[in-house]
Amino acid sequence: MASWKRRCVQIAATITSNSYFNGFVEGSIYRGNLKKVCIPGLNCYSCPGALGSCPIGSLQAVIGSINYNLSLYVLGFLILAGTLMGRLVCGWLCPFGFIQELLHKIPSPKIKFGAKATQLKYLKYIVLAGFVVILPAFVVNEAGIGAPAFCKYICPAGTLEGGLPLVLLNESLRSALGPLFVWKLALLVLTIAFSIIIFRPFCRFICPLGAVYALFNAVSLYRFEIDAGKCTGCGECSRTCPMGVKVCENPNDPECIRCGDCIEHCPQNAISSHYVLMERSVLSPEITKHNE
Amino acid sequence: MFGDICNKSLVHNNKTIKSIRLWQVQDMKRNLIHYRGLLLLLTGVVMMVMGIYRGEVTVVFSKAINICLECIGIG
Repeated sequence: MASWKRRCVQIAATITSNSYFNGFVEGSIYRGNLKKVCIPGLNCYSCPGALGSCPIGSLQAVIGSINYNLSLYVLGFLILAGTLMGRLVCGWLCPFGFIQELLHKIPSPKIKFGAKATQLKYLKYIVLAGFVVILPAFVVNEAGIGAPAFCKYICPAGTLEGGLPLVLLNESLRSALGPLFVWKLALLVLTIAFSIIIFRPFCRFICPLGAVYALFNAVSLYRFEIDAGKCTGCGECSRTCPMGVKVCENPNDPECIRCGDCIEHCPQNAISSHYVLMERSVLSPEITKHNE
Repeated sequence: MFGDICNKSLVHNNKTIKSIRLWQVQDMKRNLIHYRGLLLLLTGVVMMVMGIYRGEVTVVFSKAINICLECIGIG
């Protein structure tokens, strides 16, 4: 159960990143200067409302271009966002993650992945390496331009946020539909179906952006901490965690999306979140007392 | 500072000394995370500036302001 605070932030982030409302009316996309900037979450830049650029799409665009093999601009942005927030981005700011959470609200039998997901979670790293980096860099056309393989063959966010609205609103695009659209639509339907029964399946097993931020969870400045003095090892945090993380073993697990459900449900109040930059050096009350 | 505390007033209290050592370790960990984080932030900023200087933003912008046919499933 997400806290109302997180829900508000998710709604605000989704609306803010897709607030070019003219696009939804005209069947076009925003062409202003804000598109030079990446947004931290997965949000297709071909969504009619999108104001910023998708970092994964941008990364593939630069890698696949003739002039560059690597995007320092996008990688720098990902390092910055990853260090500042880690997977807090997934849990609080990502529009596609939010959509999956809403789908999971639909009443149905639910499958809770725990230890079973330990191997599947590595799939997103393969997607990141293969479809976001290797294919756009090495599979190129006569002009030397690589296609954005992840966006083209996998990304359901592009189909949902960009493909469907544009195809519905734009007749010229509708006439150009082919087998690729059918393939992507099938992937979207699968993602929606799985999202209803599994919590955030795309984020957990496929999302390359989630994979990038997962690498930063251990070094991110935003951290979860367990007070060993208070923790009784009851395991309530792990049972509550929708991502199947064993919080008491590793509060900064790569799979933790910082939803904060474990903090809310811990009967001992042993889990806390904090920002390292703001409390670099903390003295215990005991030491402070003796020091006075 | 922690050494002073131990020597002056807590030298006979083993439990408190252990607690202080635990906090020292936690404090060192926090400092390590802090400095590592700052280094990463600096790396991110430098890389972004270098990317902007190399003209990568133009590529991102030109891709983002045109409908990405691959993204929407047209090819």
